[in-house]
Amino acid sequence: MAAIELDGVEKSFGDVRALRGLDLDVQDGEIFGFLGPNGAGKSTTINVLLDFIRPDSGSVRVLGRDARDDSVAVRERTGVLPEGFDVYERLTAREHVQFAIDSKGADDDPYPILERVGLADAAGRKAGGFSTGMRQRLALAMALVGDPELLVLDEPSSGLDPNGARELREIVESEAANGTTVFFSSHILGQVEAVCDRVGIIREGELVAVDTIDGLRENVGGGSTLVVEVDSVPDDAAHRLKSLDGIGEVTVDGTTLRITCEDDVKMDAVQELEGLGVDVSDFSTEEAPLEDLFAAYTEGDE
Amino acid sequence: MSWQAVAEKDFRDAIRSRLLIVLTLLFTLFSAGAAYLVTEINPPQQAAFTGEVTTVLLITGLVSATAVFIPIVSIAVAYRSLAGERDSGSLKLLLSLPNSRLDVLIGKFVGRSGVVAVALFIGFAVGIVVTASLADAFSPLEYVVFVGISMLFAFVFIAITVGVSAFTSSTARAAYGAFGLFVVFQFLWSSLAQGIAYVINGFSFEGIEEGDAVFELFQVLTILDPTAAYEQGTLWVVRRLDESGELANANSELAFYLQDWFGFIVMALWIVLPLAIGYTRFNSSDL
Repeated sequence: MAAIELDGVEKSFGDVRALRGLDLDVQDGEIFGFLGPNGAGKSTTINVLLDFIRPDSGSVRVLGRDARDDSVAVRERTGVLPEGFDVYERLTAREHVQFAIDSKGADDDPYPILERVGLADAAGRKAGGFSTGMRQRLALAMALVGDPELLVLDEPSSGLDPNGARELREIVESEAANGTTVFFSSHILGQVEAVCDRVGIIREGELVAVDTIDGLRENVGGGSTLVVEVDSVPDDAAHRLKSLDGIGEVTVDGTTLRITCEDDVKMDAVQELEGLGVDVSDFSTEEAPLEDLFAAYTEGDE
Repeated sequence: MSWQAVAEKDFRDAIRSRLLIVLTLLFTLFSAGAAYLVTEINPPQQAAFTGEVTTVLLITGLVSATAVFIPIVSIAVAYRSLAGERDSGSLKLLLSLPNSRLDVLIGKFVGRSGVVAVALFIGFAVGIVVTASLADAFSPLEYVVFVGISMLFAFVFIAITVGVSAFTSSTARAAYGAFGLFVVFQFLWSSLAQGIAYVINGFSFEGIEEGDAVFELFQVLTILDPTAAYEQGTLWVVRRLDESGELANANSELAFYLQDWFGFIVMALWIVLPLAIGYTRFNSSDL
């Protein structure tokens, strides 16, 4: 069964077409990373799932129900960490979680949940004094109330320090291990790489790719970088290398050359260098940085 | 149904912000001060005839003051209820939970009403002591009934303000809107009613007489003003309770919508209608 199904979803704000016939399927139990640059339509998509905004056309189903007509039923089984939210300044962390418990009709105890997100010590403090990271943890705690079947996290790691991001990842993984579907958005591929089963990339309101990270790498192809250590770099080395077929960028850093190229021309590149009288002391291959992979999908031609 | 959770959270927030304490003090000062003013400084004219200030006369004098004071307090308490949460983004937290938009609207209305009701009740309970010591013939029942109707009147303006607050995404617009409506009800309504009668009568006041259609319309329009409804409703109850018959009801032969009790129907309408209109808009808008 699909936890999230979007079919031909269109949404415009004035002249701006935020979603242009978006189709998306997220399977039950998977961790799905929803990626895209800022303004690509990530939050609009999440807001449509939660019935915060209504699409102009297309169908949106969450946990097998219509996102609009059965929105409350959807949200009863969904934990949400929204984007651009604010806390209630005068209520304590515990009162926030208690409010989530009351709203969901759950019988959880606030304390263990606050402990899970690392806010146990701040349970009795008013949320008005919380940092961005703590507010983010608090909203996550509220999302976890009632053991949801689906977690929707909009840019969850914004405002979290590396430690917080790691804890978030652990929570996401342990929820997923219990069968919870996790859908989360990010504009940084590196954040989703470690946890996601699949990744969807949105660009200008359309899904441009859905695959595993490895699958994305394969599709982009030629995405590896050859790193060559030499004794000295002749002036025309970069120019000579670039003139070969299948070689993209060449950067020189001291006696290190970084060459982006197709896999099958690596040896040609090394031979070309040796032909220039260069002594190659070492060479290795790096996988394409994730940012490049991401850029390949989100920055290409119109 | 999670409107209770929303209402409870809202009420708790009001306690935390000291809003409840401030309001209670305000109502205490107001009820004690107004009672003193009415009994000692500017007693109703009837008291000059009979020589004693009864609870009924006191209430008659108080109503015109509460008719201004209660709306202002209610607007101040409620104008941020929804627009403020939308402004700050806490509405997203609220609606991420399984609360429907109706739950949120009703919860807000109930929560804010609760705050005003508690403050008004305590404040006027203190006022009752002052009143009892000043009025010559004090009737707790009449006073309690007056407090109850005043509470209903507060709910009217909270409903209107929550409705306005649901209508707009800006706190400032919610404040202007609610206060603008108050000004209309308080100061412009009768002029508007006259204006409408004037226009319908062919741009003239000539020939309008008691009993004809235009005059009836004018009277209906007049009583549709929530403030007028509050004053009429209070008077109706007070007259019923007043066994001495000083303010005997002389208009029992009038049409039902011109009876004083019709004020209660009007107040109920002014609770339901603004909430319904605000909800319709709130429910159909993107956050």
